[in-house]
Amino acid sequence: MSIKLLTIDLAEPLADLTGCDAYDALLALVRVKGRSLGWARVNHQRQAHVAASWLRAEIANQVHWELLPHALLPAFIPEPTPTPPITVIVLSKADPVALADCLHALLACAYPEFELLVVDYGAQPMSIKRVVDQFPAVRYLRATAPGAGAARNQGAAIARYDLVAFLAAACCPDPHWLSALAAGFSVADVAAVTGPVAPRELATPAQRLFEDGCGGLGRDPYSRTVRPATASFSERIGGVGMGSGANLALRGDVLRALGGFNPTLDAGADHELLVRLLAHGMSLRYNGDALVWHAHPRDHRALERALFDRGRSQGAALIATAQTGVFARTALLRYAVSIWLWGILGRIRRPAGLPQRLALLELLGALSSLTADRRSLTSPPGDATL
Amino acid sequence: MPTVVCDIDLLTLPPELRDLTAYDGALVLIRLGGRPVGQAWLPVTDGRIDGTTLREELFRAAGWPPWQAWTEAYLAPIHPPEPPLPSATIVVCTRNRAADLVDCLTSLQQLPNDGQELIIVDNAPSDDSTYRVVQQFPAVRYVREDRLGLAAARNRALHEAQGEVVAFTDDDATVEPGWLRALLRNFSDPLVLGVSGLTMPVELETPAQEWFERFTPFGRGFQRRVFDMTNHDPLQPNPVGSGASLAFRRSVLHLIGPFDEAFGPGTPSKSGADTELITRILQAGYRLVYDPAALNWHRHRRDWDGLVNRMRDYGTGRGSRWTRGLLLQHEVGVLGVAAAWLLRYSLPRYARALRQGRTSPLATLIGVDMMGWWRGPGAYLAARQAERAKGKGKG
Amino acid sequence: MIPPPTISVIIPTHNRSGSLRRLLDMLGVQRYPLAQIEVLVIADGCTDDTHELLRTYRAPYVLRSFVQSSQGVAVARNRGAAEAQAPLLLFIDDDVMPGPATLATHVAAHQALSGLIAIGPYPVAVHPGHNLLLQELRIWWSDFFQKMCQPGHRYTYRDLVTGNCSIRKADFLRLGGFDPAFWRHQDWELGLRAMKAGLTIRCIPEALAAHHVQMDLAALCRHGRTEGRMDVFLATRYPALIPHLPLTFYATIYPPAGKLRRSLRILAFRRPELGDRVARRMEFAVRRAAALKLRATWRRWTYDLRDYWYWRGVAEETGSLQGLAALVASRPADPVSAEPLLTVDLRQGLQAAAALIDRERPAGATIIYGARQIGLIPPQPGAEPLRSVHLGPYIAQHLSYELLTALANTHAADANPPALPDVAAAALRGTLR
Repeated sequence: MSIKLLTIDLAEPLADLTGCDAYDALLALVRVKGRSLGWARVNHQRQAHVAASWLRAEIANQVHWELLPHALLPAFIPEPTPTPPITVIVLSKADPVALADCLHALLACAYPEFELLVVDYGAQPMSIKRVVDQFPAVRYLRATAPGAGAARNQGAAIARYDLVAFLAAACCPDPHWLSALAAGFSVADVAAVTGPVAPRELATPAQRLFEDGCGGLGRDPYSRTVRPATASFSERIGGVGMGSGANLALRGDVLRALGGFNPTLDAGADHELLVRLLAHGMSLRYNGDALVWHAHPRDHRALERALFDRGRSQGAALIATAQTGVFARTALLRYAVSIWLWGILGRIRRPAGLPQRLALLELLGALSSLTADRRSLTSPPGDATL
Repeated sequence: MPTVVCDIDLLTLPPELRDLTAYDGALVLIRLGGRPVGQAWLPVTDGRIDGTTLREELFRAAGWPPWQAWTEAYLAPIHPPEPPLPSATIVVCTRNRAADLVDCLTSLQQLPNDGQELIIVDNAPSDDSTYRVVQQFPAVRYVREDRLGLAAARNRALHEAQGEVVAFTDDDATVEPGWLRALLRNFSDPLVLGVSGLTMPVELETPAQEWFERFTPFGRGFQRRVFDMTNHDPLQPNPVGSGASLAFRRSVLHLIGPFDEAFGPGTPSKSGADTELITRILQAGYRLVYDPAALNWHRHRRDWDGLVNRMRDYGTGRGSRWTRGLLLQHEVGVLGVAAAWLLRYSLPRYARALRQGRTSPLATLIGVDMMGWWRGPGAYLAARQAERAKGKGKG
Repeated sequence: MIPPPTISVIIPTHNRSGSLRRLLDMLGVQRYPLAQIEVLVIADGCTDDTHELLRTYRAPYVLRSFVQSSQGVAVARNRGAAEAQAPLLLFIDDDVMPGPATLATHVAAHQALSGLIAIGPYPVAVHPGHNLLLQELRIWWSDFFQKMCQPGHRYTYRDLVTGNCSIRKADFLRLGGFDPAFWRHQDWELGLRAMKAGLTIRCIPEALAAHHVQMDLAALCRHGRTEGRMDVFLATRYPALIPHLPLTFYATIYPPAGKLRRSLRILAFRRPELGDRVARRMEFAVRRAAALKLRATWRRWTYDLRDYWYWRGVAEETGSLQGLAALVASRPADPVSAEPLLTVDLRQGLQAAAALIDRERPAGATIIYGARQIGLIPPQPGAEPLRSVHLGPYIAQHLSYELLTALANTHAADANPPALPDVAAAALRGTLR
């Protein structure tokens, strides 16, 4: 079972697809003039040759509501927004191949001015450094403290520009990524911009399980602004559905005002920061066009680890949030029990798409965050889930 | 901080909204090619609403109506011709508000001339200021009605009017150029005896105005709706429309009867003259239409005490109407309606509002509204007596 | 020598002498040369003073009367048509009061168009003492004529109602008159044959008349039962209609039937004697609800009751559920694919599309925009061929989303999408029209 991923721009001519008989279905990100409209899933009956006209009709049937204003109301397309210089901080831990891909994709981004900085916080510095050395325009920083939170802070400290974008090395940004991030900041009162994290490939069962069975990393293409006044309970406390640190941009002054990421956290530092940001009365923009493509774990073992880590990192973030003291204990407890754990338990009780064992692993991860000494930061190597 | 009222057409969306530093929110009327299709409450940050937020929120708030309007506009070249419009009389009932009346009359002069008649009914005035204002406008008939009460004034207008349709607007409202034609278009169905239009606030500068708009807005949404006894309970006239933009076929006088003069401002029942007539029209098996294409703008009361009094009046009017329905028309359904209103609507909302404090604006408004109900029965009986006395005095 | 009449007014009547007298009076004040009017009254099994009235009535026009034993209204109308001397027949029911211009308008309509069946609206007249049932009927009839008077209305056989309806005698005879086998809906049945013969049905709003309807709950139930039986007749004779008749929807969820309604339907087929007892109890309950002015309850129960009697009539004719299933199964295969559809491309311009439809007059049409299909205006059995005026209202009502998406997909790549420069003006016209 595998799914072919495509990006289709309705404003551009579409060629026939060939060699599709190896795939069970096609999953297309549909755009018009660079703006994401939605995802369309097409069953092509394992035909090798897929005609462009047929494909076009199929996907058009799935995303028309979003297309209407783009195509029929010329005034809907907003004016171009300013493009301030950006520092892109790539967090890399262990995977030099993924990092090389990521840097190539970054250099292909169409954006007037940006600098690249790789922060290496893994255990094998040499291999990462070797990759970075191949790119003369890319700076390298070896993190001195363990954990992604601290690594992000160190990177931000030496950033040249005021706008800082964080990217996980396992992600390849879309060519429009930087301009879409910058456009997000043109929305008044926005302090941080996030975006969707889509799968780069869905070739193995593990990858499909990760994407479909447990929600993946969030590839919802619909833009929105999360404001403290109107945010939902789970957004305010759990930072749910607002994007993640794998694809996040902040103003430097905002980061400093918040006191940076929590340095004691590894994965989970991002969610904790987003929650803190909202709690401080700042708004966040989830821009559906600021898309990155994430390499999901290919084998089952990595998937298990990723799920365990997800439970663990969310638990750790929640505990860290509790320690900041901005929320009442009862609210945190209510969130933890009735939304987060209840959701995991629901997946265990009624496994829909995700095997019970994997959901159990997530629960184990969640419970382990209670007992683990968070300072030890003993999460296994790998960039899969940031 | 006040809320700014904006008027935006989706065909000519501005890049962004600027220079709103005095406001912290905006109420946007969304149009497509001039037709109202929705409204949105937006936050204003640093004196502006950026283009992205504007676009996202407007389309999210408006939903389908702009697209239906778009289709109809696109298909307009092959749409079959519409029947001719009936003749009309526009009536403004006023009392001692000459300053507001100037704006109202000015906007009425902007209407395309389809031969409509314009009547100002001056209700028991205390001076001749209204008369002097009316003199400044050509082709406006001045009628003086000395019996106090909005219902009396409107009945007088129904008798005086020459047009087939009588369109009422308030003295503190201004109308759009397309207002009258949009109302009249709906009278092509012979069963339709009344049509109400969309009323938007012209300003929300004070808390009282904003609370009024959020609590009991005059607008009833952006979809045209047809009401008759087959699809709507006659005892619930509120969704049909509000009195600030309401037109009746003149034949309503002999088919249904005049406005009940025991209701409305200037009587013990305080309000409810329009809704009472709407109820009777529905009970008699006729139709009413709410058409948001007919747009006018209303200036809400600016002072908080005025708003509280108004809510109390609404409550009293409602209680009076229920009393009338039960005693005079033997409508058993009134009991169900009143119970549902109390148990499903008012009390739960009141309980929630009380959490914010007994004197919070919401709790106050719901509280006085409910207090108004209790006065309703007494007020209605008093109004009946007063009316009977008046009748005797005349006889 | 007396000139021959130009219009024959045919009035079948049954025990309504008071109403008949008022109708004859109204015919005497028509704005039309009275010498050219011939009125034929066919008294069908009358037991009141109708005969007395007809004998003594002094009419300012030619009044001829005929008597027949209770043979039904179809036979009566056929008899009138056979005896008529004028080239134009006007059927008027004995409880319909024409306005002073009705006859003249009918004559004028036929002078303007040949092959016409002209329908004058006759909405229910207002009486102060109307109960809920009559109010409901008034709304129904008013809607019926209001819809028909819309310029974009697509006429079907169901629009042929014979309370105030004129047709040329030659056309009527060519169609073969009413079918006496139908003692209700004989007008629909004639409408089906008229549509097949290519006649045109039109509503002429100026020929307004008033319908002084007499109806109570018992009559409503009786009518419901007859309608059920007639629907079976119609279905047997015209299988193409089956998908559009309510008897197709016994078991389906559309229109949604409540529990009570479904139980009553089962009773109508399995235990009719028990069903009738329940229905009589329900009649009582409906009357109580009306007395208490509980409109919603009254309405629900009334419709349930009528639904029962409809199915009771269907059961009477089909015998059993198996019989009904066999009848429903006898419908022809997909009627959409059977008829050739005209393809109309809106991208060629709306006016051009409208002109194409007027030129071809197809039974149905496939609407496309460039390479994309928008949708179908399906052919309907017993409906007139499409005209250009049907196009705009049909798309606006049924296919607006499909039209928008077709436009959007076709023009997604264009720098200047079809937000035509005059779209604003057109929309504004919509507001200000």
